[in-house]
Amino acid sequence: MNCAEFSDRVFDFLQGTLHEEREEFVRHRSGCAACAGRLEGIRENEQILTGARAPSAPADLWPRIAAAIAQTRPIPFRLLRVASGLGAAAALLLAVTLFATGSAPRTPPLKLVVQEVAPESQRTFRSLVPKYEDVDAATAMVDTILRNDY
Amino acid sequence: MGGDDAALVRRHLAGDPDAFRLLYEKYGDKVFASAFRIVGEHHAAADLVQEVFVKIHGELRSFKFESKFSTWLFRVTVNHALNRASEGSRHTRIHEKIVRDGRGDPGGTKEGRPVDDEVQRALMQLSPKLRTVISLRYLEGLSYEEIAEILEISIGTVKSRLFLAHETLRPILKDVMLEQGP
Repeated sequence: MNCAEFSDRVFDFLQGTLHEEREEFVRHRSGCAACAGRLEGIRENEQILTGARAPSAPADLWPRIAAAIAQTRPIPFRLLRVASGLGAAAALLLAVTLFATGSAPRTPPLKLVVQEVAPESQRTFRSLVPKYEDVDAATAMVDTILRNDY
Repeated sequence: MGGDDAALVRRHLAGDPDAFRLLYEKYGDKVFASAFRIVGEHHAAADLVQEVFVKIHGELRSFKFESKFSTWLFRVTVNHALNRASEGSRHTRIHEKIVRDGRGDPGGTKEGRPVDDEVQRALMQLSPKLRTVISLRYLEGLSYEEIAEILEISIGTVKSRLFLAHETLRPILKDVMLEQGP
């Protein structure tokens, strides 16, 4: 084993996963003061590094993160935006009110009022509504979308 | 650990408002420590961690559960930190001068032990890439395989970077050891 090969295997040796070449590694170390010094140096470095304390996150970091996440929430309907190709500005202006109309018993038709968004987005949203059977389900869907930052 | 994380991710995706906070509570300190080791400054690390968690919150829906959540989280963190470190190389040099002049980290470290500051000062002598492997290996205690996965490099490259980092750190940390005594 030469010095380059010794260097390649030094971490396997330290980790205890050098098996077949271990004897050759130890023999090289015995005959090469430079490599023996490197190995010892790495051992000492590891001792210092593993003993160093890592700094903790500031106590106010989570509130900051939560606030930053909350600020991103006014961009709802990302899914719709992607689907329809609308920009974020239109999505921010979205105001949705759902109310039931019609009398079909199993899948009552829902009338959707979408204000201040492009017609393209209105069409996309309407296409999702028939999947839901009543106003509460549709409202829950909207709520889920809002809470999960689509 | 991975299973717990996956369960928390699924809870978050199902609308559980506490799940994401629990992920932060589990990894916030570790992510902060890694960011701090790479960028070398408390306030910059805090800003970076905030960006990372906001980013993954927005992208969690696309998480495919093919790798561990922690691997993904550390990859995002490290990539952000390395970008920040390269963008802020001038700022880092100024910060290093502040540290050398004895004024310490403007943000301050909570623990504040001299040896920790010495170690951080030594790490700042390394390139960001070498700092990263040292941080992940010895401060986060990750395996070579995990580091390779996070950094998307081979295990051989992880080891060669570690070796080079140790060679650079040796004379600096030797002084630390002498100052600390046996």
